[in-house]
Amino acid sequence: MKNNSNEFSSFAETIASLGSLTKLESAVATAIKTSRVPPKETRKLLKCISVQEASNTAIFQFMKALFEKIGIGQLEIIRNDIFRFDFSIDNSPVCKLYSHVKGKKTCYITAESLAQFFSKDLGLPGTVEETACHNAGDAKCEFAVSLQPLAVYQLALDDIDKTIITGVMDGKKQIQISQGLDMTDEEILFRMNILKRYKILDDDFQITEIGETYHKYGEGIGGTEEDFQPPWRDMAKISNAISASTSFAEAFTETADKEPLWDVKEEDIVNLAEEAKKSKSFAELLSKQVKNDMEE
Amino acid sequence: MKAHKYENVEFVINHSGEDGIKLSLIWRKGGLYLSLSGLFLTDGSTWYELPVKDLENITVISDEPLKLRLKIPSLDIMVSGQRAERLLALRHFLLPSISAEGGSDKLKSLLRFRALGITDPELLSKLLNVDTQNVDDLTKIAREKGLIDSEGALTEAGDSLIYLPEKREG
Repeated sequence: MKNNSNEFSSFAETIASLGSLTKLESAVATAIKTSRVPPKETRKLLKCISVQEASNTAIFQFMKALFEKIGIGQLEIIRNDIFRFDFSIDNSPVCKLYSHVKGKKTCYITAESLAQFFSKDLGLPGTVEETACHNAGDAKCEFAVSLQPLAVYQLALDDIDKTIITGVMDGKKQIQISQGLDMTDEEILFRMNILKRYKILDDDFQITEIGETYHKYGEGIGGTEEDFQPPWRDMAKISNAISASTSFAEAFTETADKEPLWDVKEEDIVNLAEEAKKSKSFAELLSKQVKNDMEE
Repeated sequence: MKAHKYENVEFVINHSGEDGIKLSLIWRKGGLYLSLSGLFLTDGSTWYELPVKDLENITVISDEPLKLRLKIPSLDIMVSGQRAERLLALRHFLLPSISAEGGSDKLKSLLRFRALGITDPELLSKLLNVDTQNVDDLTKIAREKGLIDSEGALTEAGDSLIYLPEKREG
């Protein structure tokens, strides 16, 4: 925490930064509201084994275009594990809004936008932390999205996976399972390798303790899966909605920013932090004010 | 002192004394103003100053309508405004200047598994990808915070922590 009395560089810069953040907030809210993604598309992302594979999914391409349209910058995937995705943003526009902050991470709005997209649009709740920030001296801004394991298991595994798990638990051989599902050996091996990655099967394709737990508790969670058509990928429609909301926010902000500066008299100011230290007297002061308000 | 009007708001100041008593006072209509050292809340007569250096946290306590809680030592100030994005922007603007928010994803995951009836520490350590000591520590924290009862069942507070918000219409 800085010790000087001025926390912000100037009114003009502060107001400009707050105006830009207000536009971003409007864009994020509109984008999240209009961008729900069908579970089958989320599943494709969750089943990717490499960063390159994940980067090429339709869902990530959509996400990248969406975040760029919002004004948050160009997202890249830099890590994908079963319960975690890491993203980077080079030359983040959000960083530039914090000229008064040095040596600290600043991109809370980006982290929260990612959290909302994963939670509300992909159905994958979790937490997002900024792990590196240009304003803190790092080369790029980086964000770690940690997903709740149960939600991941619930979305990542489909009915075919569940049939495979049941088959393995019933002691069926790989060939019996593939015949039952009318799949080739390669297809069933691919599926079983993904189950191995999710620690449902071990290296010998036998059920693990986690697999048994999933079979016992997890398979029934969630109910019927929804499928729906765009607008989730209709960027033109989403772009129009974002533009309309940010124009409105901009117009409102411009009007608000034209407010003149007020001259506040020292005798009218109550410093809450200072008064709170005088615990009892401040409680009395507030009580008196409530009494006066009630009488009025 | 110069101040710039930022938003029309309603606010309430809650005081928590040494004896733990909290005074929940009535909501006042007024304005939120910016100064170069922090924020002002005014009901038209008194100007309550909140220096940024004294802010401990700013959290969202309600989405619709949007309500922010600004925490300074011994005080909780709740602010509600007409335009959610203005208050959210202010929160994101101020967050880098105050203490970082703590994450508790492992604790939430632990509660989710316990809600399903999974209580075996070794299994939980595998599912959470932490060692069994960490599972014990997390369980202790959950108990201390009143998220689970003495028998390990989720309390109302524990349930509300892992509640998933409804998805919005796509």
